[in-house]
Amino acid sequence: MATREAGKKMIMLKSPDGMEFEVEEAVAMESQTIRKMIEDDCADTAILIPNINSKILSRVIEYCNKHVPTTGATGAAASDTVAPAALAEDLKIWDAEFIKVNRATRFDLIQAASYLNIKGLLDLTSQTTIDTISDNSLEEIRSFLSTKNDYLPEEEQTIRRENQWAFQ
Amino acid sequence: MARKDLLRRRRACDNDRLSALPDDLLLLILRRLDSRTAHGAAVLSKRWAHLPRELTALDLKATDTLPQRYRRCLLRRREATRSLPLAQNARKLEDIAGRYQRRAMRSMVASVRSLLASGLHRRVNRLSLEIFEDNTLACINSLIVDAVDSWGVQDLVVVATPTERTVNTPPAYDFPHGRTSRKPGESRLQSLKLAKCLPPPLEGFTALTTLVVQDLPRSTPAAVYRRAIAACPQLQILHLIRCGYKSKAFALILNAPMSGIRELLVDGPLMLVEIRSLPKLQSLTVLHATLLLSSAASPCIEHASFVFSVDQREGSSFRYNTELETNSAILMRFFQAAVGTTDLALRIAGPGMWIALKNPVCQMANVRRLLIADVPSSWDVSGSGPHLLIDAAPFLESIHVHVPKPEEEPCRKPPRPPSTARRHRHLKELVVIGFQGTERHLHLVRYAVEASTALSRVALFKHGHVKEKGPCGWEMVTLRSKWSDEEKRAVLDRVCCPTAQIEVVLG
Repeated sequence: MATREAGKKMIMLKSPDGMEFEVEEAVAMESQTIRKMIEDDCADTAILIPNINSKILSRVIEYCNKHVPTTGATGAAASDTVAPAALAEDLKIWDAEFIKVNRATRFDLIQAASYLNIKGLLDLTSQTTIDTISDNSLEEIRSFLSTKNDYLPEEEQTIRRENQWAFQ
Repeated sequence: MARKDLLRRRRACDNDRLSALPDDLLLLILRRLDSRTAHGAAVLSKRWAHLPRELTALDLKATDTLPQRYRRCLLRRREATRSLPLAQNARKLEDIAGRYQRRAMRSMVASVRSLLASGLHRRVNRLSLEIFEDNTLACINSLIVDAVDSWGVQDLVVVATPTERTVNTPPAYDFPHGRTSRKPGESRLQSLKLAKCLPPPLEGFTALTTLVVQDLPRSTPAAVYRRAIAACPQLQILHLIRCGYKSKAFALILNAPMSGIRELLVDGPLMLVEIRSLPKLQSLTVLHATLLLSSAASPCIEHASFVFSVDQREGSSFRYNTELETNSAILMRFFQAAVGTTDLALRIAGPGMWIALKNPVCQMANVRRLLIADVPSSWDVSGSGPHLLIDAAPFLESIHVHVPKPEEEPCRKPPRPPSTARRHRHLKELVVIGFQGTERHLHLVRYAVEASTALSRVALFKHGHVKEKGPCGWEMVTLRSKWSDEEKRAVLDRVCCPTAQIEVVLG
C-alpha cells in the first residue's frame, strides 16, 4: 500500500511467506525491478516479491536502506559531485560486515540481488564468492562448494583438454 | 545408517547452492574471474562444463602460465645487468628467460587450438591476446585469423609484451601473413587495439570503426599510419598512443580527406602530429603531445581537450619559457583553425605553468563550456589569469576552474586589476575547485559576477581533484567540506552583488 508518512512515500513489500515490509519508496527503488514496477504504476497495492523469503528480503532491505543516496543536501550538478571519500569508506566497512553470512545466505542474496536487479548488492555478493574461491585448488573449491566430481575419467580428460590453458 | 547417509547427502545438496543457481548468475560470477580461472571451473562438475563456452570475452596472456621461477630469473637478470662481473650471467639468464617465454607461447598456441577445436558454436565478442614480442611464432597469426573468423570476434586486442632484452630491441610485431581474417568483408571486427604490433592491412574490414595503436617504435614508417587510415574510410575513432614514426616532414601528417574519423586521440610527449585534413573530426584529445591543426583541416571540431606538461628544471628557465611560448602558440593556432569548438578542456600540469594569452584575445569564438585544471595558484591577475579566458570566449556559458593545493598566498599582494571586465552576456555558471578564499580566488569570482549579466550559479569547492577518466582524458571531482559561518560570510560579502540573483553554492 502506498501511503504517506512524514512527507515520504512508503511502499509495502510482501514476501511469499506472508511477511510485510513497509519501506520508503526511495529505498525500494534501489531495486531496478521495483523501480520499473513503480514507474509503470503497478505498485498501488503491496508488491509481492516471489522467491525471496522474509529473512533474505529483510537483509536486502537493510542493504538498500544503507545504500540509498542521501538527497536534498546539495544543489550541485550531479556530474561534478561525488560522495565524500569518508562516506564511501564507511560504506565499504559496512558492506564487509554485512556480507559476513553463511554460504547459503550469500547464494540466496545473489539470487535476490539478481531478481531485484540491485547492482551494488550483486557486485558485493558475487565478488565475495570469487574472493573465497580464487587462489584455491580445484579440490578445495569442490569441497567448499560441496560439489562432487561427477565426471567419468575419460570425460574429465576431454574437458581438461578443451580447457587445457587453465591447467598449464 | 541409511538415514545418516541421507542426511549427509541432503546437507551436501543444501550447501552446493552455488551450483543450483541459474546459468546466467553463474556466468555473472565467472565473468568476474580472469579467463584462465574461469575455464578451469569447467572441470568442477558436469554442471559447470558448458559454462566457460558461453563466456564472450577471452583474455589470454602468455605470461599467465609462467611459473614463479621465471619472475625470479628476470629479477636476477636485471641485477646482473647492473654489475660488470655478472655480465656473463646476464646473457645466460636471458637465454633461460627466453626458453620460458617460448614454452609459454607454445602452450598458449596449443590452448587456443584446443579451444578452437572444441567450441564449434562459440561466440567470442572480445579476444585479447598477450604475446611476447620476440618469440612470436608464425602460427599465432593463423590462430588469430581462425579465431576472428570462427568466433565472430568484434573486439580484438593484440599486445606484444616487451621481453626486456639487453641487446637490440626487437622490431614491432608484424602479422607475418599480413592479415587478420580470411574474409574481411564478413568479419564482425569493430575494434582493433594493437600494442607494439604493426597494423595489418585493413582493406575490406567494413565493420571496423575503432583503431588504437600504441607503443610503435620510432623506426615505424609514417606510411604505416597513412595506409591504415586510407584503408578504412569508415573508421570513426583513432587513438595514437606513444607511437614513433619515421618521417622526413618531422611531423606525422594526417591528410585523409575521405576519412570519416570523428574522434582522434594523440598521446605522448614525443609525438608531433599535424592534421592537414580530417574533415569529419568532432572530438580531439591531445595529451602531452604537440598537435598542429591546419586551417580548414577539420571544420567540425566541437570538443577539444588538451593536456600540456612542462617540467621546470632548475637552471633551464630558457627551455621552460620556450616551451610555454610553444604551447601558447599551439593553442592560438588551434583556436584560429577550429573556430567551431564549443567544449574545451585544458589541463596544464607543471609548476608555475600557465598559458599567456596575447591580448586582445577574442579568439575562442564559440566555446560554451570550458574546463581548466591545474591552474597554478600564483596566476598574474593583470596578465594571464583564468578570468581572461572569460573575455576570450564571448559565448562562454559555463567555466570550471581547478586550482590544485597546496595554495600559498604569495607575500606580495596581487595588483589590482587595471580595468573592470567587459560585459559578458552568456556566462551562467562558474565553478571553482580548490577555492581557498585568497585575494586571487575572490578576484576571479568577483570578476565573473561583475562581468556577466547572465550569471546564475557560482559554486565554490574547497576540495576536489582531477581524476583520469578512460583513455580520453579526465574529469573534475569535487568533495564536500565544512564551511564555518564566518568563512561563509566573508566570501559572500566579498563576491555577491546585491542586485544580482545568483545562487552561490559553498561546498
